[in-house]
Amino acid sequence: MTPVAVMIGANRIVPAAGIIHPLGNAEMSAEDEKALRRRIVEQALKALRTDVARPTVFGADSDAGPEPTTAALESA
Amino acid sequence: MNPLRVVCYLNQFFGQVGGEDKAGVAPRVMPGAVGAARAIQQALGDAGTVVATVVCGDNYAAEQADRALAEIVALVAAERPDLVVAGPAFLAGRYGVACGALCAAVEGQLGVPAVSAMHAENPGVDLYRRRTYILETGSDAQRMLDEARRLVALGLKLARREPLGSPAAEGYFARGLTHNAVVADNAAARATAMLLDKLAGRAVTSEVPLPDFPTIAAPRLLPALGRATIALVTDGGFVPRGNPDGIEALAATRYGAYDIEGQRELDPALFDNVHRGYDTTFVKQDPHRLLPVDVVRDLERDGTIGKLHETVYSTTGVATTLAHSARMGREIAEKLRAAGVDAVILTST
Repeated sequence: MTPVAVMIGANRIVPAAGIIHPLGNAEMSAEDEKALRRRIVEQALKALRTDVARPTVFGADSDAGPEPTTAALESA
Repeated sequence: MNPLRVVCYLNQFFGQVGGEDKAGVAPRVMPGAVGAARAIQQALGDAGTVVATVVCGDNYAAEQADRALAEIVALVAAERPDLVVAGPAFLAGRYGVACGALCAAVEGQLGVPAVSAMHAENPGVDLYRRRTYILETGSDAQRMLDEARRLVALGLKLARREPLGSPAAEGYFARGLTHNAVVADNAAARATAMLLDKLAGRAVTSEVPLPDFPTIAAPRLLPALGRATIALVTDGGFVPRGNPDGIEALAATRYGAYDIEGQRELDPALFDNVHRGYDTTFVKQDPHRLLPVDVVRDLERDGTIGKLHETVYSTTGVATTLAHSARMGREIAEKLRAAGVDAVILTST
C-alpha cells in the first residue's frame, strides 16, 4: 500500500512485510521474525530523524538512505 | 411568464452605505436595485425585477453571524422573492462567507433558489460550495457587468427549475453531487479513447475526480531519539478482547485508546482484531505482527529511544470515509501532543 501512502501525502513511509502481517512473517522462526520486525522499526526511527520535504519512501532493509519517490506523484 | 421577483444581498461597500467605517451597520432593506444590484437588474433585463436590496455591514455579519443571518433571512423572506442573488463577493472574505451562509439558509429555510458568486480563494467557497451554487468570479469588480450576467444566467436557470450543466460548463464550484448521465460510448471505449489521448500528449479529463489531499509539512523530530517519547498507532483493527469500544469492522467512526503500561509484550489471549479488510489470522496469533510493542520495549530498555508511550491508539482503516479519518487523526494527534509524545509510528495493513 506504499503508493497509496505516497498519493495521500504521508511524509515518511517505510515499506513493511505485507498486508496480513506488516511487522512479521508467520513462515519465519520466532527469532528471525522478531529481527525482521526490529529492522522495520529501526528504519522507521531513521525516517523520523530525517527531514523530508515531500512524501518519501525509506527502503525497509537498506542503509542506502531515503529514496524520494516523487515520480508517482508527478505522473498522477 | 411574469418577471421574477429578485432580492439582492450586498455588503455595506457594494451597497454604497460606506467603507470600512460602516462595516458595523445592521442589516437594512432598500426598495429596488441599489449599488451593485443595478448590475444584476441590468443583466436581468425583462426576465426579472430586483424588488429589494438587503445590505449588511461586513463586521456585523461576521461578528454575530447567527443573529445577523436570522435578521437578513427575515428581511429577505418579507420580500417574497422567487430568486435571491448574493454578491458577487470576489475576494472579500467576510462578504463571501455571509453570501454563502445566506444562500444556504434561503434555500434550506425558505425553499427559494439562491445563487452567489466569488473568487476561488474566498473562504466562503470552501465553507458553502457543497450547500449552494457559487459561481466562480475574478478577484475584483473590474468585470462586474460580465460577472453579473453569468450570475443572473445561472440564477434564472435555478429559479425556472431548468436542468443545470456540469460545474465546468456552468462555471460554478462543484457541490460534490453525483448525477446520472447517458453517454454514447461504453466505459471500455471511453477509457481506450482517454488512453490514446494520453499517449498522444493530448489533454485528458478523468471522469472520476480524485480528492485533493492537502500537503502537510513534515514536522522535525525535536529531541534526540534517546530522549524522545514514541507512540504506536494503527489502523489495522487491533482491539482488546471483547472490543470494548465497539470499533466497527469497516467504515469506522470510532477509535480506541488502550493502555499497555507494564506489558513487556502483548499477550495474544488479551487481544483481538476486528478489521474486515484483510485476513487477520496471523495478527491474532501474534499482535506484534501489527503493533511492535516487543521490539519498541527493547529499544526503550537499551536507550535507543527515550520512552514508549503507554497508550496505543487503534481503529480500522477499511472503507473508512476521509471525513472520519481526518477527524479521528486530528483527535488522536491532539491527545498525543497533550501527553507530550514526540513522534508516532503508525502501522497500517
